[in-house]
Amino acid sequence: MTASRLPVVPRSLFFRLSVRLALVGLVFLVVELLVVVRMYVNNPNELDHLLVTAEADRIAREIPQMRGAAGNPVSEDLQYPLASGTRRAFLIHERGGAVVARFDDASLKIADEPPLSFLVIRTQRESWDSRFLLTGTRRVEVGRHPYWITVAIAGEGFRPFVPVIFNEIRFHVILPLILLSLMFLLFNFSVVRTTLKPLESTIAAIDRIDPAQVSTRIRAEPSLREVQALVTAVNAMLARIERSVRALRDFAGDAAHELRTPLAIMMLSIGKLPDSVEKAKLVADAQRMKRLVDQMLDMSHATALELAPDAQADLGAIAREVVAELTPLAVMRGRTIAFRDAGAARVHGHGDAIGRALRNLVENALAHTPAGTAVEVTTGPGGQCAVRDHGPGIPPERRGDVLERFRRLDKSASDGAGLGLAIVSTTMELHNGDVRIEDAPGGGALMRLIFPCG
Amino acid sequence: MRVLLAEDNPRLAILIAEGLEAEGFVLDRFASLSVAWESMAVTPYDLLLIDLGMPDGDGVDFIRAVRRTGSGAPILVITARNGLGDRVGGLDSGADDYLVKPFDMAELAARCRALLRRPGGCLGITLSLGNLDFDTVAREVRVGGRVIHVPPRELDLLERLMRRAGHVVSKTSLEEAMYALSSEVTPNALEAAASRLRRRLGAAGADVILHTAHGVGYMLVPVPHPADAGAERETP
Repeated sequence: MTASRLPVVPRSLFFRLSVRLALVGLVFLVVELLVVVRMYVNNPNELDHLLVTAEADRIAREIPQMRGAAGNPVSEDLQYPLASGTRRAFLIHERGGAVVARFDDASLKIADEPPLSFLVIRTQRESWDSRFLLTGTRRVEVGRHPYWITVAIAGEGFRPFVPVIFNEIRFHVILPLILLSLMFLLFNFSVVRTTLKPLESTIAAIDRIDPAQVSTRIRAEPSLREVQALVTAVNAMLARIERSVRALRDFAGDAAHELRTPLAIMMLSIGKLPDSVEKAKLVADAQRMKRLVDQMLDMSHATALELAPDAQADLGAIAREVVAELTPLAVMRGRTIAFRDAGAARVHGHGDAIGRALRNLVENALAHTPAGTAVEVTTGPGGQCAVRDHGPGIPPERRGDVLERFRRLDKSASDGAGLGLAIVSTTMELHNGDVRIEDAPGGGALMRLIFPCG
Repeated sequence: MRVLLAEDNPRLAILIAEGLEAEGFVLDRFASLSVAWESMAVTPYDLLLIDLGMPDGDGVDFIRAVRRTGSGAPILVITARNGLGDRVGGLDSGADDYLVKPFDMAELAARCRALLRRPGGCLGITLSLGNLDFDTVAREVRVGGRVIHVPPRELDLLERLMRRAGHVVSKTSLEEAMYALSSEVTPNALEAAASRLRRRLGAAGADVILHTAHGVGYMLVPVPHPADAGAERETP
């Protein structure tokens, strides 16, 4: 049989506490037992006393039955002694010295000598080698009447005392230990639960952290120093994450930024070359690099963006500006851009970011729409914006793909870095909006940006 | 036309200077804002080209300081940044236009000339695009040197479009150019005027295109040469 690895189930606090307390209780029990046994072994007279008392108590419980029945019969149970391997006789007197009941073992007989009326307790031991004879009297009260029970027990060795010791352990060691353990368990459990309360609220606070908002920190719960330490540690970790995330975000932006001056030098240098096919290729290469740098900056802006709670953006105005900005480029390439405002609403958003996203979307559409056709930009109704081209469209199975970074449907296409739609998608994520890729009626791709209402 | 260029990258500075000198400008290059500032005290410049990221200070502060002296010389900002903050910062401080790196010479020269042609700018009073010339003082339009008649409203429209040639000019801006505040503007007056102007220019044989940016505005561009896609060149 192959041993399959079971997933580790985290144990509850109650389980762990119980197990540990049980273990501690067990160790304590063993120590206690050793102590008790040692104590009695060192003190045999104590055991004599206990054995006589136990026997007397047992007999005393039967006194009401004996009194009720004629001839004071001794019950079946009392025929046999408490300690096995011993012989035992007893005699019960009541006030005035009258015998209530007696029981004699064949070879053990107690002389009928009424005890003194003020006697309460007496134990006596006689020993011969390992054999012993215990005699003792106990005064008991049954039904408001005093009785004197005299017991004689004859036996050998230590064995007869085992039940007494066992009884002793049961009532004076195990029972209190169990009670104490239960109380400790409940106490510990409640203490730990109360103590962990601030920890739970801290965990809840950590859970609420929005991964997109790297600047958030947990508000410290000052009630418990240990939890405070955890909060401080988590906040320090968040700070480190924020630093690295910002460093990463800044890097792309800084790199793109730094590339612009050398790129400007390159473009101006190429411009000075005599006209040739080679020059045209270099110009195209430089333009592509310019576009890549622009997109890297856009992407870095999109990822670093934090949306203010009251930020408002006018979709119509943004789209109009983007269309105006890109129309010269479109006309230069023999395409046009048509804009129509179908009642766009103001949305909760970052105007610049939406502008950058829309510019990338329109540039993407311009790259795919054939010469002589128009890219149609429509804003509204409400919080939406659509860009439609007359290109081949995007097959449904690739629609999720194209929103990822550096993905292009046509790998040989020379325009753009494949970042455009990723910029759109990242920006829309920030706005809790949606990018929908559809087939336009009559062919071409229809990209819709949907902003949340309200 | 004397131009001040504050650019700390020596190679870029030389390329810009050579390029603009070939277009007929005279350039003084400075690698630091402090030296540029000293030079401005003794030389009247017609145009300032300022790189925002200079080693000895922020270009935006420099532009503010220039404007505080009362200088009205047009300022073109060259920047590697393209965030809105930079844009607004640059233009709010008193710059007239900005150009984001990288750019080609034609674009830079066109921007420089556009700034110099602004009212108060030193450059000539004639706007040119392709074979189309517009004399802003005589309010006269010539196609290939031959004067054609253009009614006043279309003239206003054409002037605004030629000043921003190669860019989309918004409908609002064109309507403001065509009509005084008090006059009645019918919704399709602009469309009608643009359409008449387009026919007029076409009939006269102008090699420019009046492009309608649907829903946004209009744009005047030269007829593109198949070999030289998009490089729009103007003659001063």
